[in-house]
Order: sequence, then structure tokens, then C-alpha cells
Amino acid sequence: MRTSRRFGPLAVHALLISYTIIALFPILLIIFNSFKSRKAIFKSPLSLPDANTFDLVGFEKVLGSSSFDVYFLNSISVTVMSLAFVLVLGAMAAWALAEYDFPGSDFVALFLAIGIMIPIRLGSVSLLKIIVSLGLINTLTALVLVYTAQGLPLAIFILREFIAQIPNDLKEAARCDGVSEYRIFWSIILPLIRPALATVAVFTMIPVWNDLWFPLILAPGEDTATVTLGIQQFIGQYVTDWNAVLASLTLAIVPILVLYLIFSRQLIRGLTAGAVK
Amino acid sequence: MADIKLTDIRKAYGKNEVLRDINIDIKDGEFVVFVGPSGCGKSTLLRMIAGLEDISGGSLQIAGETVNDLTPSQRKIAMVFQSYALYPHMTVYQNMAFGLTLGKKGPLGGLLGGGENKKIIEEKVQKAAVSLKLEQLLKRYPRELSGGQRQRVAIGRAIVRDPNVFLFDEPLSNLDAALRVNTRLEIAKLHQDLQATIIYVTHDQVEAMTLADKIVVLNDGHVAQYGTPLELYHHPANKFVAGFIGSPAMNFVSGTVVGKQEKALEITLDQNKTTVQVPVMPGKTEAGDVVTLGIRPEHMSENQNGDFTISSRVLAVERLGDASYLYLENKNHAHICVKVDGHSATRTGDQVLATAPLEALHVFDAGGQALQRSKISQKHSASA
Amino acid sequence: MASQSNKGSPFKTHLFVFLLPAVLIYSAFMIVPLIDTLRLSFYSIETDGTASFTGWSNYVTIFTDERWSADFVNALKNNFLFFLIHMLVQNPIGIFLAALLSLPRLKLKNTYRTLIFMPTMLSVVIIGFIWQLILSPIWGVGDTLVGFIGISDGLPPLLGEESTTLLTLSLISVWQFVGIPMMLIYAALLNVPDDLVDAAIVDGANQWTAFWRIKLPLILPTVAMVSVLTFVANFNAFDLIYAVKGALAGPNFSSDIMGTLFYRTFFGFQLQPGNPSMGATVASLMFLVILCGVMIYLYAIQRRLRRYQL
Repeated sequence: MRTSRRFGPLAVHALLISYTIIALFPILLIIFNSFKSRKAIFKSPLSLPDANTFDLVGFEKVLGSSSFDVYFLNSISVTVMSLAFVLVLGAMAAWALAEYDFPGSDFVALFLAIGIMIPIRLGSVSLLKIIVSLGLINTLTALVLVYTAQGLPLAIFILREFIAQIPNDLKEAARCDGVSEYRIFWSIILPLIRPALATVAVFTMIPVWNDLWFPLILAPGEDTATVTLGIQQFIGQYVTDWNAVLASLTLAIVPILVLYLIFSRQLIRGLTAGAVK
Repeated sequence: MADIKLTDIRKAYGKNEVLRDINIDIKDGEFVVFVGPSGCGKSTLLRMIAGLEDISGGSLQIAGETVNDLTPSQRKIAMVFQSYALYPHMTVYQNMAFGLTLGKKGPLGGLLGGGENKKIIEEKVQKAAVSLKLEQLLKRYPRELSGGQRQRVAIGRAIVRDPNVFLFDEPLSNLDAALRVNTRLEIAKLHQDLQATIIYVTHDQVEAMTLADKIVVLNDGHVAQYGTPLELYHHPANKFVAGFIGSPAMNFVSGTVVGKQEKALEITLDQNKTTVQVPVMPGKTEAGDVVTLGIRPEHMSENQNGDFTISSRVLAVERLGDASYLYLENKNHAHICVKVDGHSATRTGDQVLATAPLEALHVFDAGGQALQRSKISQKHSASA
Repeated sequence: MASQSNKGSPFKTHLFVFLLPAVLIYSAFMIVPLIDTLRLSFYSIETDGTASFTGWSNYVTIFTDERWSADFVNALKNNFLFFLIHMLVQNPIGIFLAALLSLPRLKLKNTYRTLIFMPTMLSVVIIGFIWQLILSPIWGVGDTLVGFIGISDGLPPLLGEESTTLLTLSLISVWQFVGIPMMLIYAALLNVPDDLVDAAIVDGANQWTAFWRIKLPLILPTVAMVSVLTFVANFNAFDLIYAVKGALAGPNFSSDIMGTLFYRTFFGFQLQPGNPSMGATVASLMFLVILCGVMIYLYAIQRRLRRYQL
């Protein structure tokens, strides 16, 4: 055991480093090669770009022949709008369910929980019909509405648990002072649940940003395509142009990785919420 | 059974040294209590002896063998945790048998069982269960037990392993007051029955005094004093131990040395108005040094002629029935607590004369070290 | 939880203001479409758009029509295989990594966690393309890599052969999503009190036995939850197969799963026109499969696994 105690940490680190390499290598390989000339991509795919092999031809092609900026703007608008709706409406509903005892409150809570387990995708046939009849086909609004509906169940579930833990005294004190229910929610509850809102934001954001299905069926037009859909279609078109393919993948990966590295602490705290150590 | 020898043990987390110069000899079969305020390092020291924390320096010997690098089970120790640490998914029986089912013999490092023969395990568990009155509870899960029962299971789990040394980490702190006294007696009895070496950690000096053969008082990462309970009570090595052992705590009054004899010091408390001659060895103390006088509340009395007197007003009276505590304050002195007879009629606001015999006084030098006392009154030794 | 002061007040406007927007959007774009899809599966929609009630006939077609049933059984079977591979590879690796990360006094654990979780953040589509490029015989990176471990014949076209495509795609998905079980199990492991592990160590266990006999039994509820999440996600999968193999889930439908079958049925492919009512039927069957999985979890597993008071 003493030997294993000394040897142990080394073995553990070796295992973790190996797996980290497995997890990162494919991503880094794509990013590095996107900065190389076509010849270098094929001749020495495993080497880093250097002065001889450095080439931005792929990026020029992507930015020149596709509307990457539009895709990004679309993805950002859809994600931000969906996020705002999920957070505000979700917090309001969670507060109502956690705070007020009304007939049928359990039923409403259960009704809202169905969506945690059942994927919204299964309703696509009718959803498409509804969106068409609302005249929202090929609009970002359609995506925002669907993603809001998709994000609400989990948001309400998490926020409700969190709101239930807020001491009653805080609200009672406010009520004794004659503060309205709206003010209590807005000035007392919302600031207190900020950490939970951050968690919900992360859970909501990732699937929205990465989704392919709904952009594909509800908003496949060139003007409304999101990054995920845009990449999918661009690569389908330029499948043999390796520089362009690698560059487009890099353009899609890098912003997410940068955001992730900035917010990873909050994200991981959210994922491991409850484990306070 | 085994003796334990700690030599120059130290523990550091990086540059932060939490324990240093720990030298303790524990004889076979002794009940030793580590006591000290929270954060003094007592639990860390216990975990180092257990093998749950690495030892940064020095050597730890159990039964003559250096065990610094051995695992807990190789050290043949058993430990009772403050939280009891009963495995929630196992019955009482499985909890007690768990250690015996582990063993290098089995496949996958004992993962699929192995360890000792089933019959032997059952005998051992039964025997321990009987001695702790747990026979009826063997099929229960920890969540179905009361606090006291959980405590006994935790002790049973330790007994089953038949260790050389039992380690207890604040085992009574999760019990209510009544159960605590009861369990304290049971642990004392257990020690009698097993004749085992026991190391017991607590922050409660009453537990320490009542249970221990010897007490290790830890303060701020080092041993403040190591001795029998009465040694600590009568001859505290320093102001810290003096204040820590005894309840209510020893009173401290500062004074100045005005004269020095072969076996006594003349000390004034109030700029030469009165002096007292305290029978302690002067050591290196010189006239003019500031010292601290210590007097235990139970060695003081009210309105009697004694050699050492303090006249003061009563701030508060606590009546416990058999005795009362007077809390005094006068304009020169710190607060003083005096233990008086339960029938005392003294009330808050009264002016009283609190006195003590000179032999009952302790003197601490400016560094807080006790000056050796020349003699101790027989009366006080006996009453303690 | 409910405050006394709100009881008995006659009509609580604020209750509706708080609750209604969420309930409306959720109902309109989630519940209504789900129910309506179930309803549509009992209708037949003509080319002119008129729907007529046909009872169970769509289901009868899927199960008895030779071509339909072959496709459906193939997709269902593939989907179960897809799920099985996740259960056998993704979740054990996730648990293993979580166990390593939760070892006491491990340095750099946050860094490992962050980096290993990274692929999970990226879009499935992107991940699909990344691996398509790496495994592409044209590029040859895969050949070079397997060369390092002594395979000189080069990499077979893993995404091109019927026998390996589904397995390869499953493993790509495993590679991407291993971070999720890792994180959830890691969080659960942190909740196991240190004292229990210490007690086991004192009892003679090592970290390995302490994990198997103390920690793992205590986090089984989380393992069950991870399994059902995997189940739902796998039977809802689509993006990866679509991005790598297209709607036809080739070669020869060997990587076809429920999601791609649903898409093809709904929107049509090649010469076959899309069929909304058959699409609704496939979606309803997916709904049923997922519901079964969730029910098994809720009633059979969740109830038997006791959550221990830690």
C-alpha cells in the first residue's frame, strides 16, 4: 500500500492525461490543420503549422463564399432570446409553484415536468404544422418559441427547488412591509437565485446553440440558418475542399471553446450543484 | 496489545506546519486522551496515528515497530469516528463484518470477498454483539438505529477487528448530554474489559479527566503538557493547561514580583499595598517581573480568613444546588469566580471577601510557564 | 412552503401573471404538438392536405408491411445497439474517470475535468465532421495514428462498411458525451462522506475496494439516473448520423436509428415523398419506447434503489 500510495498518484495522473489527450487531440488536430496549406494538410497532418505551411486560404474561402457572419448572428440572436425567455418565464413559474399553495399546483408541477424526460422533437410533425399556420416558417421567432418551450421544464424544476430553500422570513418580512408580490419576486427572489439562474442558463444554452434538428425543419433558409446548420450545409457543398472544411469547423469550434474556458468554472459548478465541498 | 511511541512527530501541509515536536510514550493498555481547543491539531494527530494522514517527520512506533509507512490495517488499529461512519447500505452485521471480509486472498484484491472464513467472522461478530448488547439489532440498517445504538455499532466494528490500538475521535460529541455520561461510563468499562491501548480525542476536558490514565493537552500544534489527570490539575505546566483543565476555569490575576526567597516569591497585586508570599520555586524570576497568579474557584472561599484575599463586589451568582458560583469583580482585578457552598446567602451586589490559602496559588512567569510549587496543601489534594 | 398570508385570498391575479406565460408557451409548443402528433398517427393525410381518420392502420402498416417493418425493426435494433454501446462504454468510462477525479488530494483535478468535458460542449454536427475527416482514408491521419500502435495495414474504412459504421458512430458519440456521466457521478461521489471511506481504509480496504464496496453502492441512484438520461438521449439521437451519413444512414441503412427513420419518413428521401402521418406514427412509437424506458426507471429502478441518508 505504501508503494501504491507513492505509485498511485503517478498512475492516476497517467490515466487522466491519456484520456485528456484522447478528448482533445481530434479537436486540436482540426484547428491546427485549418491553418495549413492543402499540401501540408496531407503531407504532415500531425505537425503544427510553421512559416512554410501556414496558410489562411481556407478561412478566406469560408468567409468569402458563405454567410458565416449571418449564421453567427442568427445563432446568437436565437440563443440569447431563448435564454432570456426561459430564465424570466421559468423563474416566474418556479416562484409561483414554490410559493403559492393553490388547488392543482401539484398537477401543474407534474405537467411541466413531463417535458424534462420527453424530447420536444417527437412533436415535430405537428410543430411544423403549427409554425406554418402561424406564418413563422423560416423565421428565427419560430426557433425561439420552440427552444423556450424546450428549456422551460428543466429550468422550472431546478429553480423551484432553489426557491423553496429561500427562508420564509425574507418574504414574510417584505409582506409585513406591504410590498407587492411582484416586487418581492423582482427585488428579493430574483437576486437571490442568481447562482441557480447561471446553472439553468448553461443547461439551456448548449443544446440551443448546438441543435441541428429544428433549424433544419423550421428555418432552413439561407437567411435564418444557424451556425450548426450553416456548417452542415457548407461542408456538404465543399466536401472536397479540405482547407475550407477545416477552416469552417475551426470557426465553429473556437468561439465555443473560448467561451467554455472562460465560463467553465460556473458551468462545472452548475453541473455538480449540490455537491458543496 | 501494544505500546505506542511518538518521536519528534511533525505534520506540515506545504509550508504550513500544523503539528511539531510531538513526543509521547504510551504504555500498553493505557487510556490516553488528546485534549485541546478546536484547531489544535488533535484530530490530525489521531489520523496520523491511524494512518489516514501522512506523517511529515519523526517516527511512529507501535509495539516496537516503526509504522510510518504502513496502512491502517497493517498497523492493527481500529477507529471510532465522530460521525460513526457506519456504511449506510449495510446492516449492522455487515458493518461489523466488513473489515473481516476484506483480504488480499480474494480475487481482484479482495473485491469479491475473500478475507476470513465465514464461520469465524460470524463468531467474532456475535461475540462483539453480545458484549455490546447488539444481538437484536444485527439485521437492522444504521438509519433504523438511535444515536446511542449507532455509537455501539461503531465500537463493535472496532472490537471485531481485535486491534492492538483503539482510536476514538470525539465519539460522544453527537450524543445528547444524558447519553453522553452513560456512554462515557461504558467506554471506561470497555477499557477495563479489553485492557486495550486506547487513544481518545476530545475537546471536552471533563471527558478527558474522567476517562484518561494520561492526558495529552495540545495547543496550537504542540504538546502543552502530558501527564495524569491529577498532575495536570495540580501541577499545570503552563498557563494554557491551567486554564484549560478544571471547570469553571482557573482565575488569573496579574501581579508583580517584589521579593525572592529560596522557596518562595513575594508578589504584590496592587502596587505594594499588600503582598503575598507564594510557596513556589523562584527559578529565573527576578524582582520587578510581571507574573500571573492562578487560583482555582474551588480553592477559594468567602468571608474566611485566608492568606490571600480579594475584596470585591458580586456581579452574578449561579446556584447549582450543591454549590454556587460567585462571579466577582473589583476595580483592580479581572473577574474572579469563587465556588461556595450551595447554602450561601450571598447575593448579587454584595461586597464579599474572597480568600484562598497560599498553597493553592499557582504562579506563571511572563512566558506563561508555571513556576514549580514548593508544597501542596494536603487538604486540597484530597478534596480534588 | 406555501405562505399562510396567501391562503384564502379570493382571486390571485399575481398567480396567473407568474404562471401563465410559461404554461402557455410550454403547452402550445411542446404539449399540444406532442399530443397532436399522437393524434395524427391515427390519420391518413392525402396529397391535397385533407386528413382522414384511419384508426390503427398506420401502425399496422409499420408492423406488417414488409418494407416498413424491415426498416422499423432495423432502426429499432440499431438504436438499441447504439444505446447498449453507450451503456457498456460511455458510462463505465465516465464512472471510472469520476472515481479517479474524486480521489483525495488529487492535484489538477479541475483542469482534467474542464478539458475532458470539452468535446461535450461542441455541436454533434461538428464532432461528426471532425471524426469523418480523421477517419477518412483520403487524409490518412487515422492510418498514421494506428501505425503508432503497430498496425501497418492502415485503418479500414470504418465509416464506409456496413459492419463497422454503427459501431464507429456509437463510439464517436461515446467519445463526445463521456463528460456527462463523468460530471454527474463525480458530483454524487463528492457527496459520499470522507469518513465512510476513511472507515473502510481503517477496516483494511484500499481505494479500489473502498470504491467498489462503499462508494459505488451509495451512488447507484445517480448511476440509474445517468442510465435513463442516456436512454432518452440515445433514442432521440439524430444529428450525428445525419451529419456523417446523411438521412439515408448508410451504407445500406446500417446506421439507421429511430431519429433518422423519423426524418426520412416525415420529409421523404430520394423518390419517396414525405408522409406526415407515417412520420407521426414513427414519432409516436419513439415516444412509446422512451416512455417505457422512463417508466422502467421510475417504477422498477428508482423505487428499489434506496437513497441513503449520507
